[in-house]
Amino acid sequence: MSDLRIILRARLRALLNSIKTIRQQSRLKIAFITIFAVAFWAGLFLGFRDAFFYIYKAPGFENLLVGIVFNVFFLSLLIMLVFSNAVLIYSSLYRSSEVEFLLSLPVKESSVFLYKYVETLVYSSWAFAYLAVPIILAFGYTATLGVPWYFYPAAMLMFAVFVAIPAAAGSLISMLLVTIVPRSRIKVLMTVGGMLLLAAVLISIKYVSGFTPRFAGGYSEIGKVVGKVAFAQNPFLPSAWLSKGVIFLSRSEPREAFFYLLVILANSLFMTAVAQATSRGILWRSFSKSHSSASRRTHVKAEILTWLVHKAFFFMPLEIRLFLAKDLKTFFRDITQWLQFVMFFGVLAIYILNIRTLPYDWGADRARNSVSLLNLAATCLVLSTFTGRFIFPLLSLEGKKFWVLGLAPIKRRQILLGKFFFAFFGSLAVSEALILLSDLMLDFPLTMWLGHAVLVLAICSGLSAISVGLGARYPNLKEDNPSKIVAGFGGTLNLIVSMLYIAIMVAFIGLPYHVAFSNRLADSLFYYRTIVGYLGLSLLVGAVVSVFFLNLGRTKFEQMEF
Amino acid sequence: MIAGLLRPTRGVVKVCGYDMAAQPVQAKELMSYVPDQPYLYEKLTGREFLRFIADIYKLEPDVAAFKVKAMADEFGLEEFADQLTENYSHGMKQRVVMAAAMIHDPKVIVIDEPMVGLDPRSARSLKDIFRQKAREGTTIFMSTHTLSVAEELADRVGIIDKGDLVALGTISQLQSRARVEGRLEDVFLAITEGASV
Repeated sequence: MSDLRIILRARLRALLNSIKTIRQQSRLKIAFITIFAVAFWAGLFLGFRDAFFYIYKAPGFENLLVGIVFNVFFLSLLIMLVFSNAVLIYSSLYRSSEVEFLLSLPVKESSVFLYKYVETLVYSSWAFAYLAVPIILAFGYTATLGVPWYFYPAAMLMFAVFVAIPAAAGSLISMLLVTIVPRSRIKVLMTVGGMLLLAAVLISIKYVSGFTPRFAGGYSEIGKVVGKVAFAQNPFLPSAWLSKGVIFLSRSEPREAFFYLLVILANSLFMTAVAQATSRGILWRSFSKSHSSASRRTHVKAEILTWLVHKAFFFMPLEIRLFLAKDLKTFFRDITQWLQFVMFFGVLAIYILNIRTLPYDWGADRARNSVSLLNLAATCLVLSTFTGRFIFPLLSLEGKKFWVLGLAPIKRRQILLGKFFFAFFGSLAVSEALILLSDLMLDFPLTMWLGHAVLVLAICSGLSAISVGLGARYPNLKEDNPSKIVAGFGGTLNLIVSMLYIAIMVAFIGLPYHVAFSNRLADSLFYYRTIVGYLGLSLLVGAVVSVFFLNLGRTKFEQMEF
Repeated sequence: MIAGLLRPTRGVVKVCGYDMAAQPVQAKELMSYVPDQPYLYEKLTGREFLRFIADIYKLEPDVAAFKVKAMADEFGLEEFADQLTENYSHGMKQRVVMAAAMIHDPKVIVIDEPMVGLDPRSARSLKDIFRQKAREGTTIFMSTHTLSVAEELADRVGIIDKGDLVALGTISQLQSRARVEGRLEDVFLAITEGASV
């Protein structure tokens, strides 16, 4: 039996054992994930269905427009998958203790690579498959002439074969980067990669924004759109092959579709073979390099950061400032953490910077208020992924070092407050900047800026307290991997509570605030009282939620044994 | 480097005559490496993990089944061998890892800080196993900061100071070199102080 088969068989056995133990785990978690997945999936299906219905309202141009949508959509996914695969294979090949274990066994390095490649392929591409099902179903559902019976399975097969291309490209990029670039520069290159991705999103928003809602310009308008997205139809792009294959399938032209399936398959296999052959020569070399060369000294930068924290938060007790500085240093030294942070908020910032290019009537108050409220909700949702992913596991990650904190002459309440302020100030800085940027782009007056600033302050405080409080209430001190900590009961509960909190704040305070704002009567005294009332209420709710959850965590945390 | 994880910048590492850079699989087939923080698949049971290791070392199925049973008996794993390893204590994990390291009768074992976290009974049992394996001809490279363990077990001791091998020999040879009659700790301090100067 080959090495790869032995390893995969063991992983399959481990997976089966995991499934057995799932039944013993949180039913709440399973129920929440299922409901959320189905609801999101149904939302995607309805969204794509409406988009295709809309496209079919342009008779004579529907095939052209469907081609454009597929080309741009698949190209965006291709770029995102290459990048996410590069990041994933980096952590799974060079930062995993499993690879160290496997390399100490009599297993070929190319088998270790292939195993990790398959694992990364599955992890990074499930979202692609998850997105592909609703788009395929929506496309088949709306097609005016109907689609043949084999359209659905064959299209899914094409997707499955396609994902190997970005996975292999991402793996090659990652391995070559680690081999060629000195370790300290990897962070720089990853940042450059992230910026390039953001630029790609920026370009795609600019191009897609040429799509006006009513085809007001008729032929010339469509011609403009076609011209703008010509780059996505480049015949050398794998996304264009996928787009063509799916369209041929839908038109009951199996021979042409089969040709594109074979093109994709041949390239997937070729790229995988190239990545595997490359790993044979460089995996050990790059692994050894990543584990033996020291990273750049950060002493001076760390000193500056510590100094800044002490100066900026001079009003806080020394203990809390020390924890703030420690958590900030840890955050900036962990590439996977800040890269995800930059990605989350970077994409949002680029979208906000491009709001004006979107085809809305910006003169109308209603449109501006709606978009502004949606921006607020989007920023808060992204923020909740940040607090859920990074803040919730903070206390658990102290793990085996927890006795140091337990024995230190510090009140545990202060440790908790240190984590809370770290989360609060970090999230506040980014969220306020984004919301104020949104108000600036939407040309809102100072009153709205102020209102949003107060609302965001209350939301940041609440979300930080929920994550810190529940993180202390449901810690997992045995686990080193933050993803696994987040996947537990406490992490799931944190996600649900955070979502509910955002929904309440946005729907019951943000929405009426915007309604009051758009219906203002000559800036009357009543209007100002209403606005002040809503803002006062948001601060009150934020304070109550923050105190409640911090207290909830504190009671457990103070009694915790270690 | 001996375990094949790090690549030498110069020179050659040979295990039982096999060059680790040119023939890594052949070299690793003859050895075992146990790091200070060993890796276990958490969602496998101890028995499944041993079977996985036996398969990786290409033991025949009937031989693998026999060896898994024998190792489970020798290291006292039977009681918990069918539980997931995620539920094991440090001592239990260490015993499974040791059993896995010896399942293919390696000629060389490279082991880092094996006694850390073990209860006295497990530590004693492990020392006995090391002595027996050494008597049978297995080479055991043990790296440790616990000099009393090295003094108790080792036939030859190498002292590494700031990455350089500054002394190598039996305890009495090292004592002569350091001109110290006392314990290994005193010998170590005398040699490393000399080396530092």
